[in-house]
Amino acid sequence: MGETFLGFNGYQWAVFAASLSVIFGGIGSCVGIASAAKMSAGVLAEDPDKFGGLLVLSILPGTQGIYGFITGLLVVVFFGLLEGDGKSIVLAQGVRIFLGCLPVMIMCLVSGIFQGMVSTAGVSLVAKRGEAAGQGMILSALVETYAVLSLVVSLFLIMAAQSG
Amino acid sequence: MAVAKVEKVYLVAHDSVREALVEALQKKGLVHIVNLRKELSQTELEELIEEFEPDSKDADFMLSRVNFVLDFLNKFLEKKGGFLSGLMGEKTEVEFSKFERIRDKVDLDGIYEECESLEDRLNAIETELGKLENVREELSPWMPLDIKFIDIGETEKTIFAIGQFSHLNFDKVERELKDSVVESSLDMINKDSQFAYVLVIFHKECSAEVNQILSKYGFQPTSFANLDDAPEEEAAEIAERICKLQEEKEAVVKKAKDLVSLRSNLIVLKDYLENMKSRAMVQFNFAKTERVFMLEGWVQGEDVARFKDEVSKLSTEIDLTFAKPREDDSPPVMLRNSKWFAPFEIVTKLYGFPKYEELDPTAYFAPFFIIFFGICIGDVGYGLILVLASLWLRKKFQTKETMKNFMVLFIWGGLASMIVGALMGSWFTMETESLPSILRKMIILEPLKDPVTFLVFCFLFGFTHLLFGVVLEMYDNIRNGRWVEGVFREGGKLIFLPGIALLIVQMLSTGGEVIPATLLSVAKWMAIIGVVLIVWFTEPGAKSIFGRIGNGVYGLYGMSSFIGDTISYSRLMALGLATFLIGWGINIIGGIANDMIPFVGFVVMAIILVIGHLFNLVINLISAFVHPARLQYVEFFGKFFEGGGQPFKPFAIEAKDLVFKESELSKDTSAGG
Repeated sequence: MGETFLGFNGYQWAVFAASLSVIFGGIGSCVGIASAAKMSAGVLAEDPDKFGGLLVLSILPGTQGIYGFITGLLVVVFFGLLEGDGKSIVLAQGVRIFLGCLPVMIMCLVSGIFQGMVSTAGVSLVAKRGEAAGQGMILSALVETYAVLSLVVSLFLIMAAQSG
Repeated sequence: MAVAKVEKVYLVAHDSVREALVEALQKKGLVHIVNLRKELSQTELEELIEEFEPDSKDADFMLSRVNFVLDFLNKFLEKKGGFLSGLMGEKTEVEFSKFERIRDKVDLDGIYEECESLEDRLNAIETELGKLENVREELSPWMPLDIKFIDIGETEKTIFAIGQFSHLNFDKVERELKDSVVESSLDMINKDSQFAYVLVIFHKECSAEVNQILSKYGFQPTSFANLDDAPEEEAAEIAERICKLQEEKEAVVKKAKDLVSLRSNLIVLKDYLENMKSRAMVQFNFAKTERVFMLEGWVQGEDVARFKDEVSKLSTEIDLTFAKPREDDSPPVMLRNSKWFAPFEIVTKLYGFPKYEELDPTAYFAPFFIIFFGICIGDVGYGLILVLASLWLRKKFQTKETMKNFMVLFIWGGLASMIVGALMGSWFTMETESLPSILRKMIILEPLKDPVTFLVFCFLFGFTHLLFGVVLEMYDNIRNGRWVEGVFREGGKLIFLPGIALLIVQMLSTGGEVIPATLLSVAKWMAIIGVVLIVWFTEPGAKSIFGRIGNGVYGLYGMSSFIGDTISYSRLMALGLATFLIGWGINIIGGIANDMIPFVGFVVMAIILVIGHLFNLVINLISAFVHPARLQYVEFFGKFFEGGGQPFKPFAIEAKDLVFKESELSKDTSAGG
């Protein structure tokens, strides 16, 4: 089994990191999309023509889940979790992987929820002025910036953990 | 490349030509009319102006009838096509000459009355059917009863009653009646899960006792007021009546469906009436005295001659005065771009129109937008799908200008994606090792192997983009006569920023010399000269020297925003990698399906790959539009562009649901769209 930290060995820390990245990114996106999509459904009841714009607005907080998925997948593939005898990952590396995934875990969770709020506000903007869908999208994408930045840093940290 | 020049026009004419003039103006669609009445009401001329209400009652009345008829007919319209054609909206083609004479061609009152009577008849049939269904429902438990309803009730000595109570009580009721009232009989006609349906016959004299027993057990009497015969005959009659009504309904529906063919004419009429209405509504903007009216508007510089010509054709009694826009005017803005850049105007319009004296940024950001889009998708296969799909959809969206422009954008973006994909070795996100060697030779950068270089590329693109923004600010300043600021302040930034960027890069790369020493010393001097220029020329008009330097230092501090702005371009790398990685994941899952599932594994893999890659493309398409757009709006526009102009919207014939076949008019109206 090798060394452990808080009861996990290196391999388990890597699995933990991959799982939590997907989970937290997913939660952020689910909460965000749910709030925007609920509101969209209400608007659609009145005005079915706005489906296109509302769909895009509601789907925007979905990227966080995808970033989490990418991060998780990278850990799985880079560190051979599928082959999984687990011996190849030493404890120090496993913990580094976990810490490297932290930016994505936290930022995707938080920004997904908040982007959902902005998207929801965007939906009510579209309800009043149908032509403003694009502006709503841009406002919503402002929040996403920080999920993107966290993804960039996490990618680099994971790659560094692989080579180092 | 720019904002079209406009001239202000004042038109004064005798009231007798008002209607004719308005009609001519609308047909030619050359002038953007502003609200002169409101403008004058704030000046000393106010008392000259008469209140007048342009009359649109006629058009309103007819419009409400047309809308009623269209609503009615739409119910009988057989829907064709799916989601896509719904998205495209339907347009009716019409010749303009027909459009103009549509009012005489359509017998609106006749159609309206017919539709109204059809709708009334339909409603009546529906109500009647509902009633009959109810009776049939109530009648159904009584079918085994073979007494006519007319015989139910009182005869000379006996009473016949029908009704229902809970079937659990039946035995008790039967026993009690037998015991206490001899001259009575109780028959169960029918029974369901809840009730027993009974016929009670008793002597009139016993009615008090019988009623007491019955009410004790919750007897509810039933009566069919309008029915005479036995239930079975009545049911048959009802069935027959329902059948007849159904037939009649079908006949009415058929009549309505025959009317659906008139719909296209009615749609034309609707648009015609809308235009009649706007012809009346536009006159709210006119200032009018007892005999004379006046309007104010904007005409594009190149249309001035044509406008004069058209107006003078109408009457010689019209006075036209043209004027160049003044400082305090805010003229309406019409974007003028060459054929290649015009589709990108949708991105500009999404942000807002430029002010009249500002640059139109469309042509400047278009190349960057395409490159950024290409990096975000960054795959040859996806790019190809995008190009083909957009080419096809562009044909379909022929009548919808905005959608058509989006498709042109996606075609360019798709081409850029193919180039970026080839340079980065991404072909349907397959692993680089499995590519044929000829494709591998094209690769200049493998994003997954060398993400740092990819990131640096994105920063470089971004930094160039930002510097270009400063160049545009310089151009804009010089163009508008602020050449001191333009040359020295913006020039200072252009010297300072590359210099300081080189110094920062050297500082960050802790190991070794990334940048040659000679270049580094040049960079140092560039930074120093830049600082001096920025500090001294940020506020050349400042009153005191301290104010000037203070503002300058603040301006220098503002340069720090370039760091954050540049870092913001890392999203390009993240989005590009995201496309690649998701696609990669899909390929892995497809491969696993192929390996694990016997015999049909290949089919499952094909399904996973097709659906998965399409999903990936759509998801990333949204990001690939929104994020490059944001980079233009927030990072790029922030350097030189303000926006907030109002669009040039000529008073013209507007075709909401129509496409005019004749080219001359459509040219006039599309210029306004």
